[in-house]
Amino acid sequence: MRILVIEDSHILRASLVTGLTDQGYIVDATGDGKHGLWLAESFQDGTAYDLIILDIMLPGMDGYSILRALRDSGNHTLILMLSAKYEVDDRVKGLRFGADDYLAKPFDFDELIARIEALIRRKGGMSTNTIKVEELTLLFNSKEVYKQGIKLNLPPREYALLEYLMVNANRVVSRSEIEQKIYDSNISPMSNVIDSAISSLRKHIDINGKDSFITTKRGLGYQFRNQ
Amino acid sequence: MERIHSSPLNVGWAISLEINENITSMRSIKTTTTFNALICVTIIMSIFSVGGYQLFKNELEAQFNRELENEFKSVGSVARIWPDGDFYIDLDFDMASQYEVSGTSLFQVWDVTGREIIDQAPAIEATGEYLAHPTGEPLDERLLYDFSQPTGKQLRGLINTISAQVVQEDSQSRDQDKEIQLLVAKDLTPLNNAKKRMLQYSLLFFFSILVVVSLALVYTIRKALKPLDDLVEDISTIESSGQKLQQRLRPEELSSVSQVIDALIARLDVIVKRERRYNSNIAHELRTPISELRIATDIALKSSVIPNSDIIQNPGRLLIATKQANSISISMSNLVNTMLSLVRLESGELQVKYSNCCLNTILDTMLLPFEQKLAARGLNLKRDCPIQQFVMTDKTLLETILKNLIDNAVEYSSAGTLIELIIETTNFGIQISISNFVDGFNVRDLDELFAPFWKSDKSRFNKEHYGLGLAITNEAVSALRGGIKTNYSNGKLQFVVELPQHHSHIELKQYVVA
Repeated sequence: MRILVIEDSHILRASLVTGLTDQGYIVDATGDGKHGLWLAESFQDGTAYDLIILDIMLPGMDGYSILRALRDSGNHTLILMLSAKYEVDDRVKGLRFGADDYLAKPFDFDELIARIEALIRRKGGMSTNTIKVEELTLLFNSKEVYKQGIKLNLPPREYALLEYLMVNANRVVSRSEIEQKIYDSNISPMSNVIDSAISSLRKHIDINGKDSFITTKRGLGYQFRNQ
Repeated sequence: MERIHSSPLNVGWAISLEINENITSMRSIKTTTTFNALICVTIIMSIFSVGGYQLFKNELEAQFNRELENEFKSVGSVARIWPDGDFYIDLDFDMASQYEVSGTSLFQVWDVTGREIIDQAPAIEATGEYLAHPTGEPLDERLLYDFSQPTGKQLRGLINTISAQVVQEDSQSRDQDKEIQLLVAKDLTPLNNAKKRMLQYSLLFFFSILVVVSLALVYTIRKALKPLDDLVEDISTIESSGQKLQQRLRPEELSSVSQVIDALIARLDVIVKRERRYNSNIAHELRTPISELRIATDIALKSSVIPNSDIIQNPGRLLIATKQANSISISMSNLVNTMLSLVRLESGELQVKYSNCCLNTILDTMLLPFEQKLAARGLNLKRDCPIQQFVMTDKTLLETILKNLIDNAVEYSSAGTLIELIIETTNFGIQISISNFVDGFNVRDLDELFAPFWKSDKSRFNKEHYGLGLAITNEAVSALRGGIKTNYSNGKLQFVVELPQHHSHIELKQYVVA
């Protein structure tokens, strides 16, 4: 999952980048409003970022303006507003402008993570913290995966890949999308990092004698089998 | 556009209505007015009733006495002495009936010496109850006496010496009239009864009118004070400073009171809103550093310490978080100190300490820390200040004013532009003018410049500025009893500070360097 943090406080921005990266997210960050909007709009198909954490008071361009500009241009990326403004009016204004959630400062990091997970889940059409396909269970909040009741010890990147595929099980996920969402943008286009990761993931999650959970759609990408 | 900024009201002024239990309140207007009016009415009614009673009583007595006099004259006119020396009162039938036993009048005649009774009314003859010759002081000069018969009957009599006519055949014997003493008395019972009735009527009149007038008074006072009750009720329904008194027709006197109350509420509303905004701004200013502190330490602890243990696995991150926390604490400390400075100035408790200060020396000291920033931003500062100009002022406050104005100009001037700082003496005192070019300044912001926490850049990007500098400057100028004018035209923002020349406090001295 790729998250953009637009926050002018250097310390808060750096802390969020560290914390979210630790949670397995790919994080981009900026402290300037205009730069933030440019980053958010860089991918017109809206698939660059799964979620934007947006402060309101920003140099260059305020959060409300960024939010309106994105929504007006048809960008439906999840936006979680983060602000020191705590009045109900401010929250209502943010939500009415098209924000998906609003979190007032100071906040708890765990709450931020929970809200991010909830937003992503909701976008994927899920209402619980658990995705279960046959004998494979993924727990969002604890970031744990169980196969036939046994906990799997997945590396963070492979967990992130599995979570992304399971959340988007209703469609084919392209290799480039996986590169953007799960890996840093610095990986070489010719590298086989994604293939290796898929292969490794299959070894972890597939059950002997049964079809693989991940189906390769030749020339298109991968899709998680949801039944 | 130009704005003149008066000293703002203190920000920390909690509007509290305290009820001092030791202060005993006055009696209500309604009670006092009713009580006083009733006393007045009672006194007036008493005077009228007693006076009326006395008037009527005197009139009754006067009438009684006149009737007695008339009767005396009538009886006297028929006093006869016959040629045989016999004397009698020659009453005709009509007159005689009132002197009978059933009558209300009596008469009795003495000889001129008053010793021998020579005639009496038929009633006296019938009862044998002769009247004693009146003694003592008469009631008045007409020789009226009050006395009583042995039966207890109260009488008033008029006694006088008159000449009884001697009845002669010829008119020549008229000269032989004989003097006698005649007493005519009337029963006082009808008069006493009339007076008693008069007293009863007076008392009845007094109490009836008193009750009616009292009721009318209470009703009138209540009705007259109803608008006051309505006003009190309207005031009691006001629960927030944003409300106004209910619009309704009020008497002329209360109309002005209600306008004053509305104006007071409006002023309170301004203060409350300003205080609310101030508190909100403080909370807002503190939320970001608290948030930074919390997230930085939270994430560092999560990623550096093994859960449920004190074992550190990533000391580098903990070190970074500690450094960040330290930086935040310094920033918060600066914010709190700046806020305290503002509060101290606003509270008016600051003691202004006047001393003789050299403007140039102060300016040199003030400008020194800005040199690096001026150079970095390509700004040119032009100063114009009289050489060796001394002023009698509070050095700390003057430094505060200069430092904040210069800081503001250096921070927000467009890069590569000129800042002009001019200090001169005027008839008023001293005038400090600082002007600089600012890109994209909104003229409407002139009204907000001195509001605490106002910032042209709403972000927290610049952590060294909290939007309190100009608010502090304004308070410092107020403490020195001066004023600030702001002006923005052609991209140039100008602050003009005027500090007064108060002869008892300030002495301007011009020293010429030899």
